Amino acid sequence: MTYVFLFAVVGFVAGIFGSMVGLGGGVFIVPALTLFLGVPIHDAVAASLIAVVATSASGSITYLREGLVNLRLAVSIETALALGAITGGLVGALLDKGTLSAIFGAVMMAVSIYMGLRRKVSPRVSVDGAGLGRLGASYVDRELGHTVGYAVRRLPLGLFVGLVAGNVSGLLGVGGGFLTVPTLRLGMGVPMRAAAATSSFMLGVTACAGALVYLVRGAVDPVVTVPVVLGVTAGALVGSSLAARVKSSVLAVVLAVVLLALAVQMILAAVGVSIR
Amino acid sequence: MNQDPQERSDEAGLPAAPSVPGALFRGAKAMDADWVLSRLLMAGLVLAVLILVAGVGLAIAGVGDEVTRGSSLSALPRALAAGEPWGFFILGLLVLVATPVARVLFLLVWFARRGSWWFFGVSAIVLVVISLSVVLGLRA
Repeated sequence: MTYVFLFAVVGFVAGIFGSMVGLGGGVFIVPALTLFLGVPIHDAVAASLIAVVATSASGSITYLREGLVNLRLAVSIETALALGAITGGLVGALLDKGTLSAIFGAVMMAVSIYMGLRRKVSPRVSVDGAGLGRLGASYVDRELGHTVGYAVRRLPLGLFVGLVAGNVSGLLGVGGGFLTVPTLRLGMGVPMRAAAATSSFMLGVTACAGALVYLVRGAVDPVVTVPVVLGVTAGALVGSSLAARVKSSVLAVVLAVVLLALAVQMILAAVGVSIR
Repeated sequence: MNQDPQERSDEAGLPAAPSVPGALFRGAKAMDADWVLSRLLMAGLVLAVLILVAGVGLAIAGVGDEVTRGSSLSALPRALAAGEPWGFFILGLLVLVATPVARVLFLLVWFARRGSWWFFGVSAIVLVVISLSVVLGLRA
């Protein structure tokens, strides 16, 4: 019973921090479950994938209401994301615990670097009105006080990164937003707010495709997954209301350091070294 | 929802300071899509959480067998009929995971009704790939 409560706490904390910095929460859930609560990594990955579906849904509700999600772009990249997620889910089931932990540690390092550096990247200048192309879109930016239109460039790049992000998601149980958001923003010309919203919307399908592989195979442990999902849903609600009161750039740097420490521990655990 | 350039040019005469966020390049149909999708996601999330909480309640009350894993999905109807927590847990998780599938289905119909056959096709591919995950999961 104590462990069930702790699983819920892990989900709750991941939901708060994930929603505050725009991640699905998987990068917190998997290491916390495996390193501190002794959950087998395959069970942690399955639980995390389903939790990402919940955080994606709760985040997208707000983004859709604000008109920030580019549905045409989302559905286009989802083809690659879903395909990648299935491959990742199948490959993940075949990998041993050590290899999976080591890959996860390496990906966590990449996420921590992304979180630490992302605020220093200059935003792209968006265009208004005409010439938006087939995938281009527009939204009202409340901070800027006017409508922002943008054209979408390099769809093949988005599809390629989508395939990789989907693979990472299915393999490791993370959302993959740390790959899709910067690609949409820097590689495809989508403004930050629309990139984060569209990415959050897409990750529901990515995680869903990966989670279905585990669910229909009976490889989901409800004792772990249910408290994590309930916790992450509650945490995402709290986090979204806290986001406006906390300086997200400071939070991102703190979490980047925490993630880096967890990444090192995960890699050490993969080679049989424990520093706890 | 964002619109294609033709629709934007058709609506170029809309007020420059829209009262609804994102309304400048948007029409009534586009607003409906965002509205329906947000309600759809909300409904799926709330329903899943309610079912999961019901399962937690049954588990705390000690109803049914001890929660097990690895059971086949074919055991789900029997578990639900018997009021076993495992049945509610798996049903809740299935509802949650099915929510993104439902919104892809909605987009499929949405694009078809608007005659956006390219995006209809793309949505259909996404559905096929998701279906593939079920088939591969069953065979693995």
